[in-house]
Amino acid sequence: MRYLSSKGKSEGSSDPHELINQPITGNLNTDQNNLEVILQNCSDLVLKRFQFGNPPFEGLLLYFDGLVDRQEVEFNLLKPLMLEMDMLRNQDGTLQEDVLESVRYRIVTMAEIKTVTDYNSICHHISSGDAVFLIDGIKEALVAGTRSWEGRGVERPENEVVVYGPKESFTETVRFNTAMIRRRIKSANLKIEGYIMGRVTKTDVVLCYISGIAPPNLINEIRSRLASIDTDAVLDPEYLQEFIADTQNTIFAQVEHTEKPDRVCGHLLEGRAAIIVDGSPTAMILPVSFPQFWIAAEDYYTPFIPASLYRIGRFTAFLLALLLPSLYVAITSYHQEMLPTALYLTIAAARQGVPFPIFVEAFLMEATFELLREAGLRLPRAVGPAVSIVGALIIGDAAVRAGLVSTPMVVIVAFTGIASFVAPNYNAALIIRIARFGFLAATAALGFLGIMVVLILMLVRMASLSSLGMPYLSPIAPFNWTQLSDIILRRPWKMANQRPYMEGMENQVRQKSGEGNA
Amino acid sequence: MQRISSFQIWATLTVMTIPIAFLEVPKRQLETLSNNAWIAVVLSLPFGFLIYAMYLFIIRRSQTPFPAMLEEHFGSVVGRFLQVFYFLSELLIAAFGIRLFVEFVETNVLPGTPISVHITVLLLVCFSALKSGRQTFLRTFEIVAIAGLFITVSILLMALSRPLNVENLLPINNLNLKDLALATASTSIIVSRGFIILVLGKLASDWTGLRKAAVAALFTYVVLIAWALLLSILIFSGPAAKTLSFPTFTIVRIINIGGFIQNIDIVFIGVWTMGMFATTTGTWFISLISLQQALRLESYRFMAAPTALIIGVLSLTMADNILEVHILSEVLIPIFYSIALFLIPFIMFVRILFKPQARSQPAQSIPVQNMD
Repeated sequence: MRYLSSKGKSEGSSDPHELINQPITGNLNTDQNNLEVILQNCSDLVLKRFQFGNPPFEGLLLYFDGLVDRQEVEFNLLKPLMLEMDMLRNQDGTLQEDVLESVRYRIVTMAEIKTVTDYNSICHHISSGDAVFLIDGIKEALVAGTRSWEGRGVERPENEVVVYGPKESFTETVRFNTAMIRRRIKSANLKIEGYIMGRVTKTDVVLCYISGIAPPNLINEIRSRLASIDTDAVLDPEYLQEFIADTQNTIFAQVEHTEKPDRVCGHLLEGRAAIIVDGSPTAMILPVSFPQFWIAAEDYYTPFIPASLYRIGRFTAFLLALLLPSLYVAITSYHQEMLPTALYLTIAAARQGVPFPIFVEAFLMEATFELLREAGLRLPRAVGPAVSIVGALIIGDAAVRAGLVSTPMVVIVAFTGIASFVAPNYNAALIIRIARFGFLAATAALGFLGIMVVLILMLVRMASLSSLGMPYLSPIAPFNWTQLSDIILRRPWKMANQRPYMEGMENQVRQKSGEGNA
Repeated sequence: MQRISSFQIWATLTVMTIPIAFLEVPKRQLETLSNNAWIAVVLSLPFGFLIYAMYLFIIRRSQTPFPAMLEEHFGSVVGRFLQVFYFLSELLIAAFGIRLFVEFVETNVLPGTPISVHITVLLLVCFSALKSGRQTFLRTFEIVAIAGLFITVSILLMALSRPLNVENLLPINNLNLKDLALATASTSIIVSRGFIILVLGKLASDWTGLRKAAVAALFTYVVLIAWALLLSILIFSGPAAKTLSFPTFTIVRIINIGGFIQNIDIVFIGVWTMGMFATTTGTWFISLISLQQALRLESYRFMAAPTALIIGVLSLTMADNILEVHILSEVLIPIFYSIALFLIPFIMFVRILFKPQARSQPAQSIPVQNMD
């Protein structure tokens, strides 16, 4: 009895969660009913039943409207089925035994076609933009690659603007993105491994690396970390970052995000890996170290002397963006003797009447600046710059006129803001913006000593981090002069004979050697 | 246990020897030898080399790193007693170092802030480094050494802009040999702060690199101290410089470039803070791993919190004022330094040299605790 009741329940089940894991029955009516139950309330589902051949076969075509190329479905799938059915007959006029195989290999003219055997696979494929074709009496379904949907075209990068060099940026479609990478690295060693992640979203995720350059242990580690992720949804690489990163509780980003395919290619050629998620125009690069955040893609499209000078300027800007407000507070509050008398008198005169201590003044100004910056980002593009300008000019001027802040403080905060925009990577700028407040608070308590204390704490924290096993401060600590010199300065291409070393890397030679066969 | 690069060893030896010596040594040598003080520093080079040679010999002939090597060479009972002694003496040295630094900052930079605040803050940074593990603080030492040397050398270069009187170096004929010997010994003994090489040496990635790192650290020490001392003599002259509390600090104070860069002593204090952080962390680390080995504990990190309290209280209560701190620095602390950092290693060296087979315990039976 128990067996019978169980069997009966299985056959007549109307629970979509149970049905979805069942195999195709081969009875077209049952399969159609089951699929209608599974995909109930999906108004974009197209379910077309039709007959083909003579004597006629019952067929069922299903796809999601908007995800497929209709012309592809009509001309390469339906039309051959309707018109080329003679091919289903042998020379003596009898029907071929394996109808599905004949349809697959002799009738349908599409390049990407495969078979599936269960409802779950059918649902996954139609959600991905494929069209699925079932034939009455056959327990398999044909999946035709008909993916095509409206998407953003390739545009200029919004967050990584360059003067020279490629100006393409990734789009939201993972295949376009991988194509942009493959177009630049025409090597069979460029590997693009596909994963489907997210229990609900079933998102396409790809892992890109160059076999023979990327350390095998690194790739295996990424694979195992990706495999261990069990989550409902993956909508952006950032969803994966927290699962993959070595340490979660930190403000220091352990991966790099980029929207430029050429930058991804540059990293792949240095032995790193990139993860791209369908639906996101950003690639995630790993492993990374902190100094790497300060290298701009443009450095490699500019002659090495100016590129090196810009790079030194960028590192200086990093220190200024991080420490300038704290240094100002420390010097004006605790160590006034450092200032020449004339300068000190100027600052003192400007501060006359300001009701706040310097620390509070700096804190308020920095907080206001951050608010304005955040507002400028979130506001519609048409009004964003206007609000920023109004905020910066009018509020700043009004605050100075009202005697709430001093002009030197406005200069310091503005200069700090400009310096922080020099960071080529948004994550790096974010670190500075957060850490700056810590420095300010410590300076208020202990002056220059406070700066040093927070600096040491920050260094200790950074030294304790790693990105997939790569020390976060490398090549500064552990110190490696050869690699550090290539980070402080942009080495001329003729001298860049070796890739940056990573543990387990098998092919470090970049040029002047036959070993680099990638 | 993770391996250590030669650069990390150089950086560690540099930050362990230079920060305190940079202030202390010039004053002491100027008091003893006046204008001839620089000769003692130069002569300390061969003696310092001998000290490092002794340490390297001990490492070479030991099968275990410090502090397990104490058991290897002195036997289980004496070895473990010495490990406890090292725990206590290194704690005391760490506490004294913090107190000396805090008194200096209190006197010269931030007179209004209670010393307990300074001590807490300094302990906090050292504690965070120790809790993060050996590899983390050694990496931090690398940055401290690079940044510290860069800024110190920049400051010393800026000091060259002051009027220099080369005649101050001339009266070598007034040299008192006894004073010279004393001054040379006191400068050389500072090198024994590189004692931490006994801990790290066995973990070094290669032996040649270890030797080069030790020699490079010695040269860095001698060059920097000699440079600071020569500047003191050239700028102030020996008799005038020995009346100053900290001649090196005064050099930094009088730097004035273009009427704009002036009174940059606070920058120097910042560098010194980094140096003191490294010195204290290194000393504290030796203390903790000594107790870890003596008690056969799996990790030393959890002891950082309770010992932080001990160091904090000890440094607060060890002296009532800066005068007592100076007395301690001249009477009590040198004894601990001499015994812990030089005498015991020297006895170990002699034992290995003359009785290589006299190990009371085979090295294989000594469980070396994880020092990561």
